[in-house]
Amino acid sequence: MDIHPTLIAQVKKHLSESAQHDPGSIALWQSISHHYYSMERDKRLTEHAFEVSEKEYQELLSDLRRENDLKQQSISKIKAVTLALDANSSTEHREGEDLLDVIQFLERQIVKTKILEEELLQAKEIAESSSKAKSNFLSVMSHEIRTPLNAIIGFIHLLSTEPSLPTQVDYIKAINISSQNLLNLVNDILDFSKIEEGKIEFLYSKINIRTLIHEIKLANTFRANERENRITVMLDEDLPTYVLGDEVRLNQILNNLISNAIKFTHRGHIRIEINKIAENENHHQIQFVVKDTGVGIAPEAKTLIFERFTQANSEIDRQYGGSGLGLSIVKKLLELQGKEISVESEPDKGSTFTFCMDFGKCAEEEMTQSPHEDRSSQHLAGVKILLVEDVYINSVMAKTMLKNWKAEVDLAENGQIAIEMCLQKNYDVILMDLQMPVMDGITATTKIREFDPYIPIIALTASSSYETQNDIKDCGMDDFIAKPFNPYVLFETIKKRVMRVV
Amino acid sequence: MVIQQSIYAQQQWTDLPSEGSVGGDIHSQLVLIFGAKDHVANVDLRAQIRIRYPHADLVFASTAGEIFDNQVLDDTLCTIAIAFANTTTRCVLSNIRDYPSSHAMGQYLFKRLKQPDLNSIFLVSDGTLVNGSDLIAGLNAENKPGVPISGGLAGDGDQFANTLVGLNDDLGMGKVVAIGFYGDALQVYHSSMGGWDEFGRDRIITKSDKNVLYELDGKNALELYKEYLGAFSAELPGSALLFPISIKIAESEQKLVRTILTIDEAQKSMTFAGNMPEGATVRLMKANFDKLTEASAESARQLMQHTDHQNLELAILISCVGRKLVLQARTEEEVWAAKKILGEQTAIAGFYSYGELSPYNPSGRCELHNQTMTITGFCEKC
Repeated sequence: MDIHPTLIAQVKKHLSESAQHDPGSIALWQSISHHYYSMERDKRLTEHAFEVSEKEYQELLSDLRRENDLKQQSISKIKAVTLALDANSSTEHREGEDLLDVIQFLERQIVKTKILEEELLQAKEIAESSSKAKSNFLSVMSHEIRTPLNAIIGFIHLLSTEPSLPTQVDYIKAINISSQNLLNLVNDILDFSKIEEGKIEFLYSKINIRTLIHEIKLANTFRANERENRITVMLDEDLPTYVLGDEVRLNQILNNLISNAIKFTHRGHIRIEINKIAENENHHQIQFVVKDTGVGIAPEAKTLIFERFTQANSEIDRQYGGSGLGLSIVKKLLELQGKEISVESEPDKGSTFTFCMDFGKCAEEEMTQSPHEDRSSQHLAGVKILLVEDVYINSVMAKTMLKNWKAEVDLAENGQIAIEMCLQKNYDVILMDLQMPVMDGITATTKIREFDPYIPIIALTASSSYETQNDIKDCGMDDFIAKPFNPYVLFETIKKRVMRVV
Repeated sequence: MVIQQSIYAQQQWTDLPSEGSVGGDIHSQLVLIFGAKDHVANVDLRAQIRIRYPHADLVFASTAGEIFDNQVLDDTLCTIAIAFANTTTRCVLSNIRDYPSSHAMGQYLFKRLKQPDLNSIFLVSDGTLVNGSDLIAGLNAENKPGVPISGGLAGDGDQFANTLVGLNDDLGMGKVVAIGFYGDALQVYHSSMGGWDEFGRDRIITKSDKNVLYELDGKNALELYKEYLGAFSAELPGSALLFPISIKIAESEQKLVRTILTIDEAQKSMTFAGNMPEGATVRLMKANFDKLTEASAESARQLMQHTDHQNLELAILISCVGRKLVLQARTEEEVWAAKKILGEQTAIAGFYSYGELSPYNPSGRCELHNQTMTITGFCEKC
């Protein structure tokens, strides 16, 4: 490597000519020259590293500025959004632009939200407990109303079986209808509260649809005649005789629709059609149509009529009466079974309600004699019945009814007495009230089952709540009849239980 | 321990006067021979050494420059003959050809040397065919007792073509000789220092394959490197020696220096003298002549601290060819700097290598280094 120019200049300046050519000196200069060059290289490298570092520093700085701008924008956005959420607090923290301020602000918002949430929860609990109190009240009231109604309906039935003056016959019919209407109203209110609480349970049994529709028609004929309406029933020839379904609820749906049709039709025609529209391995699909030639429904009211407590307009309330619960119950009962109801209507031309239901198939057994035919000739002669009932009027009414069917009836005033009587005498069937002093029906049944697991025990109660039905099943009772009871239902239930034992 | 150093230069052998060297020839157990590839390959020279040391294991390695006492030389052959008083040695030779990987070969070597009284290992490895990182990883994998391991990769001047390593008559490419020292009389010390300055920001390796680097932070590594080099990129590949890379593999580990061996413009890749695993953090480094020389002194200083400043008998200096190429005429200064600290009574030998092997700390695992002055010190209790 050449000697560094600066070093050459220095040597020439400071050393004599002879010293400049000394071999030892030349070697030393070379060594020093390397240091000169390497220092220059070091300087270049260091400058380069500085330039790279400076460039990166500037890049990072501008990145940081950009990020900072972005952060500030984000903070402003967050603030704007949060302020929009809660305008009331806008004055509290407009001053700060820091992320910390925003976080503190959000924290306060979260605390507020939490407080609000707790208040909402409390409000919800209060609402729920008041709703529960309401439903408890309904349940108690219905029991209180049903108990005297039971006696009224029972005695009307007894009166109607005895000879009366022609004028009295009409009065008795009028009282009968009024009390039936009252019962329906109580039942509607009760059902509605049960549906609201989601406490409806469907119980499936064998139904004869032909018989069912016949009974419904009969039950509505009197009222139809009153309004000069005619009811016709059209049954599909392919309709199966027996199907599996919830008879009580189907009855309720059809009754509601038909009585509604009668109510809004005057000098017209109510037509009921029942068709089998499909069938598969396990199910029949059956369509029910209730058609009237009545006042019809305005298009805007078509959905309104299915809402609770509402009628097509308030005028209806005065003209036609009713609780406004009927169609709402129909719709809910169908919804609970996954079905819909449709309505076609034109004002002044009439309405058509249509719905479909699936029924389970059951074997087409031999046509047993319809229990409604020749009912007068039937009796319960020789059947020993223990009636457990604490309310005097109810016990007199039931006793009279049972004696008319030629049954032998003993009365126990509470569960404790019933147990003692069972131990002394063999009965064919026990009719057991639930709410009684000294010992209630559930407790009594449990005790009786300890020594007699087979005797049929049928609950008779004015309460029809979901819990009660479960208690009845759990304690070992065989059947359940809601008060006020249909005398025919009582008869059939006793007959069915006694026959099974025999 | 009796040490005898000789040098073959300008066609003649010269002994370095050393204390107690009389009678060393016959009793020498181990002779380390570092020299230019042509001399190492010379059958006559090897025969001369064998005649002189009839009972010793002869361990050969070609170099990129020999360190002989206080000199840095090219085109010589230097021998360090050692006669231990209370230490036995065993040498194992292997060839990368016979193993599926450098890692497997490392494992094999350790297993062959393993014995309850194994004291330490010194090894010389082929510098181009063997992957130094993997070889060390293999040795470390088997080194449960944690014996100190050090050494270096052989060199081939500034050619980077192929290197020679051998044991006795068996010499060739792709070979590794591992020397095991046994007994508790021998004390072995290590130190390793680079002296390179880091600069610029941290980058993460996002694509690599063993010692070939493709991407940093998802960008092409070679382009990024050239951008960094600026005006110096016109002087590539030579200028790459001035700008090595620091690498930190795991958060807890020490940073290692990696030299760029070659760059491939077609593949846009860079090949390093050690593995560059994905996920590792790297940073650019630059040379500073005074700091490189100072690091050599610092390496010697640390070694002496470990010895509690008692006198070393032998120090083997393995420095990187990269340092020699950067320091050029001033290379010898780093040997002077080390010798000044190690003391006059310590025998000094060594070579310029393609990779240094040594733990960072006295108790640490062995690592492959680039661009460092790595010193292994020996001293035997009598």
